[in-house]
Amino acid sequence: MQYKHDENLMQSIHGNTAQPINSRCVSPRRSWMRNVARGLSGIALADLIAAHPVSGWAEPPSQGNQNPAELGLDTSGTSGTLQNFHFPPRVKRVLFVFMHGGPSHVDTFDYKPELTRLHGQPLPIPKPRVQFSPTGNLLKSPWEFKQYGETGTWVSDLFPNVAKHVDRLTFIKSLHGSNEAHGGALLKIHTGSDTFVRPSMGAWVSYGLGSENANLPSFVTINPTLGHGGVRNFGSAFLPPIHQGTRIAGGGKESKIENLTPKYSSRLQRLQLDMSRDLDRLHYESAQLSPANAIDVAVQARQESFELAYRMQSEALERFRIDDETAETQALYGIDGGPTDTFGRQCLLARRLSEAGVRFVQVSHAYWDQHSELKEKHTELATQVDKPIAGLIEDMNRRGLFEDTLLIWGGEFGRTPTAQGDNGRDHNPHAFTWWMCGPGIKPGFSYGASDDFGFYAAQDKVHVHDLHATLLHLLGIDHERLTYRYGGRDFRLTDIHGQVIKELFA
Amino acid sequence: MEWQNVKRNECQRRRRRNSFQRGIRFATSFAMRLSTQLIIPAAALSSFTTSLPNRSLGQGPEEQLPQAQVEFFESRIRPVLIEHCYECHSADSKIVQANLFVDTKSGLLHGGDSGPSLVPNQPDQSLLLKALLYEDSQMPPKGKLSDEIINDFRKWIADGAIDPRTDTATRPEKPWVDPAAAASHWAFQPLKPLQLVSPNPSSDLNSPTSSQPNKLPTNQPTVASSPNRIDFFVEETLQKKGMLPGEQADAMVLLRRLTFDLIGLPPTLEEAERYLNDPPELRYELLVDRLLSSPQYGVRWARHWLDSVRYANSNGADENHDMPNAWRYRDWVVDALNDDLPFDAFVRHQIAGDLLPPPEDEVQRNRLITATGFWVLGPKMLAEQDKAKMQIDIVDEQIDTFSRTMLGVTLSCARCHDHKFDPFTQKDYFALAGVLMSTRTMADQAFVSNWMERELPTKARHEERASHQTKIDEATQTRHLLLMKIHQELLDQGKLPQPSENNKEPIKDGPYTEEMKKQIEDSQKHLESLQKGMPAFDRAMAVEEAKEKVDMPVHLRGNHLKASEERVPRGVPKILVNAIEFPTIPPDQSGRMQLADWLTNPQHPLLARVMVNRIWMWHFGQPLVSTPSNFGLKGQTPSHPELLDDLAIRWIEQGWSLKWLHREIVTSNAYRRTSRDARYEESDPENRWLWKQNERRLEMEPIRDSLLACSSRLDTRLGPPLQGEGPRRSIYLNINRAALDDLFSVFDYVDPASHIEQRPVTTVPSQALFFLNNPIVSTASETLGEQIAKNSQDDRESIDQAFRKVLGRAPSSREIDRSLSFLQLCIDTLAEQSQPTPPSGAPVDKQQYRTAALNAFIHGLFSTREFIWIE
Repeated sequence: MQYKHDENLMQSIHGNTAQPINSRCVSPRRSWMRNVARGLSGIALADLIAAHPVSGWAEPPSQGNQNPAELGLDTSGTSGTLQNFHFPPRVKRVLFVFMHGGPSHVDTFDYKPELTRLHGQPLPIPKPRVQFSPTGNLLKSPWEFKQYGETGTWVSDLFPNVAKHVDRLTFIKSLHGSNEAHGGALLKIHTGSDTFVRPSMGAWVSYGLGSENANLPSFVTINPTLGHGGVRNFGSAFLPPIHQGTRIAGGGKESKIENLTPKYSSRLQRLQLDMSRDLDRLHYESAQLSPANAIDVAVQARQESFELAYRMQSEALERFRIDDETAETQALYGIDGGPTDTFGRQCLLARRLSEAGVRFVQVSHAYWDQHSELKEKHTELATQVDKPIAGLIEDMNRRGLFEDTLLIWGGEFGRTPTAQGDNGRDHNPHAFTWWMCGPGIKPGFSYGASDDFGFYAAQDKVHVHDLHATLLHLLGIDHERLTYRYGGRDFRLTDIHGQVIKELFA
Repeated sequence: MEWQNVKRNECQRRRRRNSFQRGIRFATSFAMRLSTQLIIPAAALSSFTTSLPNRSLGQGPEEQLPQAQVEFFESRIRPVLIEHCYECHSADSKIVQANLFVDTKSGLLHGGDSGPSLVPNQPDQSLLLKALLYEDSQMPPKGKLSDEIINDFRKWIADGAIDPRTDTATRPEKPWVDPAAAASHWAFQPLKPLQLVSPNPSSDLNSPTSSQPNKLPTNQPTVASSPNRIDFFVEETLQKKGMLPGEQADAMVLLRRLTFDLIGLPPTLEEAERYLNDPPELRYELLVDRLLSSPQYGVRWARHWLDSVRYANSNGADENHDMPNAWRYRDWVVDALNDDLPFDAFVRHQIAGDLLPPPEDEVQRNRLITATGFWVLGPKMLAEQDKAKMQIDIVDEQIDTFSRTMLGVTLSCARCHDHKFDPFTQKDYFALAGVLMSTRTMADQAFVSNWMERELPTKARHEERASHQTKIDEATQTRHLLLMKIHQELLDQGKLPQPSENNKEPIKDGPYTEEMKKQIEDSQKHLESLQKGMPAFDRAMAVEEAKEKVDMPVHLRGNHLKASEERVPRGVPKILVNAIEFPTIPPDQSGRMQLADWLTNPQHPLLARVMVNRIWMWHFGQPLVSTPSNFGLKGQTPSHPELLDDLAIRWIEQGWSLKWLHREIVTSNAYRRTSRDARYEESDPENRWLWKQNERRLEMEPIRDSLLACSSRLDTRLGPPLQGEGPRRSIYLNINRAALDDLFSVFDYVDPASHIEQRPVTTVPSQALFFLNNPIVSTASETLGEQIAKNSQDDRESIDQAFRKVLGRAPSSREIDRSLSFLQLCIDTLAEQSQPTPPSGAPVDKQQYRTAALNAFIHGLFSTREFIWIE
């Protein structure tokens, strides 16, 4: 798992296949990527974006500051803003498995024997100033915890399959956020702000690094919620709109991206594309302008975008064909018509997109919000995801994806160790647990801790901003230097906060 | 000059950043050296001690410092400060948090935003210890330090907080913004009237007629007009740059340009005919008049304004509640523009319409209420449980939208600290915040809070309610009579011992018969349904004055839990008061009325400039000041400063009439130039100097509207949802902030949750996918195909008609040839792809292929660049 500095990996920031490719990327399973991209060299997506420069909406990068090379900013325009990595990247892309609603950390991965001992007694430490709703006394976990793997990591009976992989996982058990309601917490996790409209972390990654595969969007989100911030959780806010997440509604048996199903047969579409191109040429040629003028470039850009769209149709639809996977692989994800079927399909689709070079893939699962019926509902929800996630880890591992892909698991907050009713827990942004799996970080490692009850992050606290800073760092980006000038100042994912948690790095 | 200052500061900051690591190493080794031996120049120390604000230490020269305590500091305190605090609280910090420096003695004694960190000898009074104990603030943020360390600090403070450090490190005390540069900044100066010296002595550009639409001399055959005042400025600049203005665009290009520009729709064939039949020297002006008086003008230009004020139909923050009455504000804007409501009034109504003397006419009165929806439309964290935070966040959103839209400055940057680039202090921010805090935007502070809506009473509705009330009264009476009758009956039958106390209400568990029970129940139901059916007043999102008017304290670092002692009187940024005084706000008023008066004062340096610049941008695709929502020190200077001021002054003189401003701009030669011009592409690629007109891509709304209009499906009626309506203009589509329709975002209308400075223009594959596969495009193609097939004899005629409908022009012969070859290829392909010919030899329905081919052709025509790019 040790990261090795690799010139080739460094060069392939934009997935530019004209560059020598890291040997591990040339395995047969990936060669199609190059085939698809061949013939595209020279057509960087940003050339298309910048086809018609508009002053004002994207103000020039800060003026008082300005040696673009020094900032690592690229002004010539390639698919990502960054010309060079700020640090050697440890990962090239991210796959984020998001548990919407707030799974209970003290019932899953953050074992608290004190809860069992003091069950039914009042919380001996003060409750927070602002609470979502009042809670009662301490509630022990309804699940047994067992130790797994060589690391002896404690995991509850909710995740017996994921538990088999604990020696690969890196836990953060001292995460904390700042908003106790779903909407605010979701926005905080996704955009870094529960107050203002800000770009999603996926959009920032896309903005910084661009797309590895010109035929696919660089940020895809499968089955996102449209509540609790909705599109803002995968939006680009003031960043150029190409960086917003492409939504795949459903993502189960029926996956759908808007406008992707061809209206005409491929041959007819070809004829149509050629005609539109010729008519545009005839029209603009009649303008009798010198050949090197802006119109000519613009017409070219428009044509290229249509050619790209034409290819995207087939490529993306191919990515959706989960049935192409072997029966064994499908079984691994629990695609069997049972309760694991839908999420299994979504995870498998996520893997296929990640493998095809989508920078940031998110897959969401809902709805872990058990103010009551904790035992019943958490059991039901965990059943739906445990096997698919374990399958995803196993599949990613055997396909070598963990050489350059980071898998993350977590929700928008944890839950209180104190009870609502006798079988429920309230929102708890003061402590929760996420885990990651991938290159460059310590496997079988646990960082930070919550207090004895799991109410507050206590030791080596990691704020959401710190998590964002760390993720960007793993991607080779300095969170303080990936900025965008808007409305008079430079913005970044971490606002004015964020500390990279270097202790996680292998 | 001012930005050089900024540059220098940023450079310093960067240098400090680079030396950060070095600094730590240095500090550590320095500390170690000091722990054994003190090497401090006496002079430095004495100058430092005299500057100490807190003399309770009473320390003399260094030899008097108790050696043991110095050693204690060096071995137990300083290393902890370096390891755990310097990253955020030292001169080397990338960002100094809370203005607190712990790398100097005076830094600790001064303290930061929260006050002195240390009270020597009194550990329990010292903020530093409280923070370490995680009592008040919690420091260091990553985790509480060990009890042992905390006890060291307690002891150190108890022993007098002996600190041998000198304050050699200087820290920037200078204000971020150079006050002189700020005071002389162009955008904060009064508008400058100019006497023009005409380049052509025969025409008097200063005469009042020059601001009227130009009368064209009849001997001129083309649409070119004599230059108006705009042209004077533009051409003067071109001359200075050694450029020549380009030619005027041809008549059909102008028709298409102007029609899209003013009403957001393509010219109809009838309009084109009428235009061409008008006398050439007058046709353009006549067209301008027709378009400006079309109600579709309001629809088009309201959309521009709605971008500025982040209009939407749902909340879109944490809880995406519908805003069912948002449309009333939208329709108010459409009507105001169509009525050419003077722009100063347009702004006054939005800021403080509810505070103006109420007009007699109820419709006018309700409009004034509706206009204040401006303040309420923003996204809000409705489920935020820290309601104090929710409230100040809402105010912040209002300040952001207000200041960028109306003032063209980014005041919300000053929430947490003084503005870094502009002369706005945090006090300025909280002065304005006080005005909005004294304004009621929220109806309640419920768990999921609700925003304010106000009733819009009308006489008609009052009457309806009164007559409905009569019905309720009657039903109540009937019910009473019924009960009295029943009770009397029961009394007569001896089933009731004595008359009920309240004869008009049913007796609980009374001895009623089944029939009686049913009668009572029916009468009750009837009454309740009447009560429910009371016609409600219409409601609009609107504000009112809050009960409590408050001056706000400054929130340290923007944290609402850390308020300053002192409160800032409600008002506006100080630097802007230089131009126009701001009155003292009476204690029983929020200050919105004063704000509206102040802003719309004709002397105000910003409002007219900012708005003229925006109107210019929406006509030319690019503004004169290329940062239209930032006229601050970091904004761009105008390309044509005199033109901007001249237009602003004349606009105010013309009674702030937007239609006057449109007419003035679109009748200039500058506006009418061709965009097919590449002469200065190298030297001025952005056309900053206006040697040509800009080619512009349509926004999402006119693209969709065109697709519907071309296929004659667009329902162009105005106002709220209608019975049996067809597809309406795009301004009437539901804008759901949390689930924005892809159609919007694909064409660069991405975020309806904040002020949009300028719509971006991108060319991306998702737009191509829209044209390839979206049902809106294919339906438009099929509908238009059907219409054309009916009205044309042959393919040539179909092609001709399709070009005229879709692109507003006739095809060239080469275009016809290319189109014909497509139709043929398409028919062949369709025939090939379909089922093999039946063996019986039955004739294949060729017509079917022809229809499909024509539809595919029109679809291809919609996909051309020309369809969405306007010359």
